[in-house]
Amino acid sequence: MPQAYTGVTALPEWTLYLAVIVGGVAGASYAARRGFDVIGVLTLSITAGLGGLLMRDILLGRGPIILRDSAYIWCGIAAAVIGFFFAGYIARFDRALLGLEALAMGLLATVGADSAIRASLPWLSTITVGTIVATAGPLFRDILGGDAPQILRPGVFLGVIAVGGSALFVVLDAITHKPLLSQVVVILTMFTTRMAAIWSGWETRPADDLSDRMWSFWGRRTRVDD
Amino acid sequence: MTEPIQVFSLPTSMEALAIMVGGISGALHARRRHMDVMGILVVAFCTALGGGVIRDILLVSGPPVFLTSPAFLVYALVGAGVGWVFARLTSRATMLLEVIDGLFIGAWVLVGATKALSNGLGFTAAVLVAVITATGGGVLRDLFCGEKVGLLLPGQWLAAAALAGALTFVSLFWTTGDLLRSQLACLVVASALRFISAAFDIRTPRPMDLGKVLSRTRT
Repeated sequence: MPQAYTGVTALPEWTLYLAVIVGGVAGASYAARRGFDVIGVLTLSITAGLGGLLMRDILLGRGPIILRDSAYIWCGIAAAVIGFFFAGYIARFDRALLGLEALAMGLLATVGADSAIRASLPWLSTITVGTIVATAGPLFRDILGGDAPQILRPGVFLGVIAVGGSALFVVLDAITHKPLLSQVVVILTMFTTRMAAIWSGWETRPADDLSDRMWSFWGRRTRVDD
Repeated sequence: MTEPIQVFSLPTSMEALAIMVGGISGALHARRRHMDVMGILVVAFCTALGGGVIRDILLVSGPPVFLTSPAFLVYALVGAGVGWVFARLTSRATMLLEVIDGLFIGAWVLVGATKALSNGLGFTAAVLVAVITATGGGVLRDLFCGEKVGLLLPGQWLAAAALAGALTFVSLFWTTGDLLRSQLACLVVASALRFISAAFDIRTPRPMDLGKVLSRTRT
């Protein structure tokens, strides 16, 4: 039996539990909006809350911490209970949930990147692990709910912020060697960029096709007016 | 922590039947979506073996069972073949398939729960793993067919029956420590709930907004 990874970072463990609850409540309210039943609410709150940590342990080849420490599952269940009975309140505090989700995403990105660094992965892999851990929960939620995943669609920055936050953590950690400091800085940066993006309506665009421009650069105008 | 317990296993013939039924149901779904041979095979395999694969990934217990005991592959293949070739016959026998499926749901729960416990997991995690083992195949089938995941929608008690069975097994085993009786209770509870909900058309509950209820009583 492979050794379970305790998953401790510089921040205390209850912050992770809180992140699980926040992600779970978001998943549960999504399920309630889509008209799913009690099993749907439970499934989506557990996958949305725990998906990121599960992906980290699968990627790093460890026994999932969420199965070793039953507190994680209970956090997911608590989120499901909140979502099952109080969907109306959650819908009213939509903005607050958005902010909490941004904080949770920042925490998950740093936790994922930190675990990858401790597993002595190279920096590019570290950024990838951080991004996956930060975004896997909402991704699983959207796939199970039958939507095109939110992080892949053009819209408010989500994936970009996750990538940027993980990269920033790698840089800060390499410079300062103080995990706590870099973790807090990264979480706050990700939070403020996400909030700023939401308030000012910055959005990502659909992918551009540069091939025509490249041809015109070489003097071969394939399509001039199109 | 309790001492390692024996992993629950069905008699071979039962196991073959259970996996074949999963394969047939997957193949029928794929046919309904007009898939080709490869699609039918893939969907049938995922339906029949998907839950176990997810379980073995979660438990980090080496290669998935269907690779270490390839007989499982053969059963799933036979199921896929039957669903593919005798589609009209088998789709008329959906009732029979559902009954067989309902009989085996408790068994899959037990396989997952005992494997989780024997890997040293706690009781909460064992319940989660058990339900995933019993329902994972159906979820994968719906995702691959591009349908709404039936598990999440209001309807008959399927995952709910598995959950109830898992809770029964784990709580009985925790309190009494009697492996055999708790296994029997799990099988009975899961199948009974499944059939009762099917017979009387009992639906799973939808989320209720207690906030609204509270404000209504106050005014």
